[in-house]
Amino acid sequence: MSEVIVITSGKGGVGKTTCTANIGAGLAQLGKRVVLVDTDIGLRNLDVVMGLENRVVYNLVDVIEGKCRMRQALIKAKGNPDLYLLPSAQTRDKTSVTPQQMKKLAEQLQEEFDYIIMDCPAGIEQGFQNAIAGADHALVVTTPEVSAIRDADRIIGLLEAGELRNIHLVINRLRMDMIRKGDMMSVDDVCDILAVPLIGAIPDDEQIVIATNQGESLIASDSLAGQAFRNICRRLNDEEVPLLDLNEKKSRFRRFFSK
Amino acid sequence: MFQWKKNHSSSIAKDRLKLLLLAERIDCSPATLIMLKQDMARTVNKYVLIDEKKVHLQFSGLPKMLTVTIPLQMQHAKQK
Repeated sequence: MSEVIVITSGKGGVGKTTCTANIGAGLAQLGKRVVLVDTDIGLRNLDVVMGLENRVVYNLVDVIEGKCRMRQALIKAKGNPDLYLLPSAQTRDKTSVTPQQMKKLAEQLQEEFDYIIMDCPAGIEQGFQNAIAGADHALVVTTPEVSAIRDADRIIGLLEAGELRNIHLVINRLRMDMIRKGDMMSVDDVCDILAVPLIGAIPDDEQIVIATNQGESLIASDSLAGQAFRNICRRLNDEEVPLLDLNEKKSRFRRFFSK
Repeated sequence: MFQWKKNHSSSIAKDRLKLLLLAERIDCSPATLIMLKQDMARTVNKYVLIDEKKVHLQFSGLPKMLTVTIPLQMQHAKQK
């Protein structure tokens, strides 16, 4: 059975696209057939994060308008034959597509893929409505900052109002050193405030920047963030995985003194 | 006892967010909520002795409910 997952946040810059790319790669590695759909029309980003920017010929709007067949627009990802990208249009705007058309597109993709992952644009306007139209599961990405959490709460309210009740939380960019000092809200704090079940917590990891620079995913790396993404994928696949101990990676100083 | 914890910026953020999100969820401004809390405390305080500083508002989803927690000051317990 296939599932349509939307990755959303409200606020921009919290890591939606990075999460989409890595969760997609992780699910494909588990042997699932996965397509990632960039629904941010006018601000295409997923292609460059995945290192596929030079292969874009057709896009989502072309498919919806019938200018090409679905198969022509899908781009096979690097390193995994089961992972595809449907890029967004760069020269159009969000009103070129309606929620009904997106729903139809998702249904069409469900025939061929196990997971359809929609990368949602920031904001709560039509782009958001388009992205959630065909979804049966939402992952809300937030960071432990007041602005991101406030927007996440608003998004959760809008999802529930749209009858999308299968919602999980991803907390990104956690800095254990700051949490230990009491200067950053912890995973428990954020969960307590938002009251939505958690599906994963991702540490702030410079490997994410490095991987994105190279247009690669973190999924195969032994970094803590890579492991956090792999755990999310296993949970999406209905496996019980205990929450990763983000304290594992101590700084060199601490490791030295704790010996 | 845990007063020191209040000075940490993460607790400040958490407290601010809790009030703000409660206000946004029930479409009532944070200032109004503070007034509501104070009014409730003052009214109850006319009849029983309460711990005014610890009065707490909470909103829950299904069924939609606003809960006001008003801790009492136990005069008798102290005298024993």
